[in-house]
Amino acid sequence: MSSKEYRHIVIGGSAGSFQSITHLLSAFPSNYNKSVFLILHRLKHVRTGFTEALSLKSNLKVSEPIDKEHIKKGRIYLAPANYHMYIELGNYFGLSTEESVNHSRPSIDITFSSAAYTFKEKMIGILLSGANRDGALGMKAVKEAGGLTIVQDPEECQVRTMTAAALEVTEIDKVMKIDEIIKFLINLQ
Amino acid sequence: MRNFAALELNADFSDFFDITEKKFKAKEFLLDNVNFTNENFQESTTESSYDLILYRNRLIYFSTNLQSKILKKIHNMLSKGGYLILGIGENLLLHSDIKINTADKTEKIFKKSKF
Repeated sequence: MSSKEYRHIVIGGSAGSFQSITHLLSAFPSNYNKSVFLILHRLKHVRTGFTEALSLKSNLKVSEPIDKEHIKKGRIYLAPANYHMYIELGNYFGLSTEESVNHSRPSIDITFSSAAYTFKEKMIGILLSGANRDGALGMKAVKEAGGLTIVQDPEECQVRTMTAAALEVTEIDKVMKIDEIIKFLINLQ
Repeated sequence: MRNFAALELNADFSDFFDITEKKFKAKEFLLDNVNFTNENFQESTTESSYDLILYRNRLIYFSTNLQSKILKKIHNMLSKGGYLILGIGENLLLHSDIKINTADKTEKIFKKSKF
């Protein structure tokens, strides 16, 4: 029987999630061996600055993937502005300029769905504070593919729309406060 | 209009565009020197050479092999010193066999050498 080893952590967030993300990034040990994906709603035409801001707090390298780049362990990948970020079979990135989904590009649903298809039970999908429903259907896809689903406690979220929507749509495995999420992820290794 | 102002041309914006309510429409005369054609990059061979090719956010939808085929064609179509502009999320890292220089790394502007 395969051991339930989670290899990939896919995190979606929007309004109110930035601080949670920086706390998380500063908590990862430098030998963390999972690959971490961040899909954060961001300004369309601001292409630089975000990665740099996240890098300041991070012990692992933060980068925006280019199309067809291979996914490596111990790296933090941030979805680039104004592209959808797909996770393709064979563990590499695909970028797309298709229409916005849930008014968002990058869309959390798109990355989560493609990650669910590629990673199946080897992934954890996490949804944080945000002001629209992007990610709710994506979390459903993760659950149905056998992955673990975690939602930040809506009571703690600056904006509860995103996390509450996910809870409406799927039976989410865990509802946690951000400190518990961080602890849980660190203890995976 | 900010970009137009930055050009500091000895002409007005309205020399080139009709401004109606909230829309700008390019004036007809600008099309006098423009040809529209339908080409399938996979099939066509063109003898023309171009000073500027904008091929933005198309390569991302193709396999690496097809990208390679298309980029070779584009390279042949570029005049010496001609420019190729790709989408911001695109790159030529998997295509080091294409002899083209990076003119602007951030804006994904590439330039075929003059020699």
